Amino acid sequence: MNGPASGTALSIVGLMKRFGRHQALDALAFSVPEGSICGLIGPNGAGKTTTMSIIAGYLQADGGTVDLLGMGPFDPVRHAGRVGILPQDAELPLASTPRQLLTVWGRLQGIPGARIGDAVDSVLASVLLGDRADARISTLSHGMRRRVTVASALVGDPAFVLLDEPTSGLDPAQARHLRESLASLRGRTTVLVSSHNLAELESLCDRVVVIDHGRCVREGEMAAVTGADREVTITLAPPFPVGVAFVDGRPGTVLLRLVADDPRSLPEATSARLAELLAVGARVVEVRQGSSLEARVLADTSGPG
Amino acid sequence: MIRSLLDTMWVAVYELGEAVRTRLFQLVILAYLGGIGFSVWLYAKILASAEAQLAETLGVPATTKPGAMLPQLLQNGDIQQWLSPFVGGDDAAHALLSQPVLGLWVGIFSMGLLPMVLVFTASGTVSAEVRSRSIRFLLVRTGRLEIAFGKLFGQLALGVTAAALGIVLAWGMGLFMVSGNPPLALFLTLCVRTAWSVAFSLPFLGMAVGASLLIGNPNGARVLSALTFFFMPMAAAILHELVRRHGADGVGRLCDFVALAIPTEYWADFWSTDPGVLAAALGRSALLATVFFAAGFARFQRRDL
Repeated sequence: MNGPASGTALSIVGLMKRFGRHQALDALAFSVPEGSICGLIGPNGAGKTTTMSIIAGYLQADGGTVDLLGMGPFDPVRHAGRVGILPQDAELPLASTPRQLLTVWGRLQGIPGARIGDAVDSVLASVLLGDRADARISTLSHGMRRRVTVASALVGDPAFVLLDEPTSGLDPAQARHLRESLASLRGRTTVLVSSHNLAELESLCDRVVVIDHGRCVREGEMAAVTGADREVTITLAPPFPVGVAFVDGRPGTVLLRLVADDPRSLPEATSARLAELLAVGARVVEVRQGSSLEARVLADTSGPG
Repeated sequence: MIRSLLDTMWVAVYELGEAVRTRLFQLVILAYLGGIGFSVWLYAKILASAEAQLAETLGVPATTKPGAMLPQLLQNGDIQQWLSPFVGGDDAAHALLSQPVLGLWVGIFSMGLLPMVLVFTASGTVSAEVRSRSIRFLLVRTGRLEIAFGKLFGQLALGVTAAALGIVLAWGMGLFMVSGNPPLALFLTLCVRTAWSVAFSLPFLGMAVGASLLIGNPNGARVLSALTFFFMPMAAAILHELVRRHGADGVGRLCDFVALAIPTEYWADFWSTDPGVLAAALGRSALLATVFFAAGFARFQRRDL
């Protein structure tokens, strides 16, 4: 699918949105490179769904600009067939079947009549619903309905996909399958995904945007945000050897952080540090590259807004 | 432009399909056909009673099937007396009586029933989807104007289907229950009267869809439509009284102007045999439908969904 020449699929600058007295978005700014899978993270009320809704054109921004696929703010005609979205809490029409819904939605997004059947079959198969294509939505489980909405976001191979809590309500096997499906889009489709499951985002995304109180508080490559490119955390089992410096408040935890001018690579520095620790009798139980995304987000944000 | 028309058509098809799947369609058809069937039955009963009375007066045996003494009833003015309150007076009734009376009678019921049915079904069409947020699946695929028009035409198609089936039912019942009706003339009269019923119903449809576009709560939209529908004749009576009291002064002129927006004020025009009056009535109906629809759409276009 085509994207903008600049290589930036989504650019948001100074986005503002107020609901009554609540400032939901406060000069929010971030960008998403073309072909990347970007996680949108933040506590409840941080403005994730509001941001997604403005990008999709459901909500009108009070200020700021959104440039989607280099064609300005979302417009159903301009962006026809290029944007797919999984809205967080939209209910599916219960009397229809997945095939009926996806067919009419596919038609509306400009999929030619000759291709629509194949496109619908293919996307339903990709969410493991091929055998329930003709069952009424009302007879499907919550997880199956969720997968129909995921299919609605992916039908027609859009260039940009917005997913708000895509694995909510899915069992572990379904969630894993969905993550694998999304990961397979990397490089050809830009995905902006919001979720509270940070471990899931850490394994799926190559980029992350953290927002809090309607502002972007951190943005960058996943490895840079988690410190995976410059940090190693080593956990020791007691008894701890004397003379080893631990992280404040976390006895047994040793943090190795590469400084900017360190000539060594991270594996070299890690090997050297481990050798030092083993030499003084330390019992190493875990070596982890970087901090968890969860730890970073908790450090960056102020909790529920 | 073509894309816009196609999108409108797909939304209308989807709307009609949803009505069939949720059984709203069947309910509407049954309600309307029930009313039309009742009107034919009532006609046969009233006619039988009038003919029995006439036979007694003339000292001749009563007919077994109503309709044989219709020419006599037409001659003595009884039928004209029945019709005149519904068609705008004695002159209009007299002018219409060259057509099969059953067709006119069913036309009166159709003009009363069809707006009611359309107000009931169309007032929840958009607001229910706004409430469940399922409209978000459409918003990312087509424009708000196409959605609104698609819903309007989908509901209109629902009404037209009910009206067409009503013609068949009334024709069949009429031929079976009442004698003396030339089949072709009855069919044509039913077609023409039903077509004018649809035209008369347009402002009510515009009002109902407009309310649905205006208010996000389907019950609120239904209440607004129902109140407007049932209080319209009352409002018209109050306006006429004010015009009578105030004459041509400011208040009188204002009331006269406001009365132009009340669709029931044009009931009698649809019974005229003058093509100019009928064309003007059709134009006013279409204009009122557009105004009511546009009033709702102006809000729908800007609101957060």
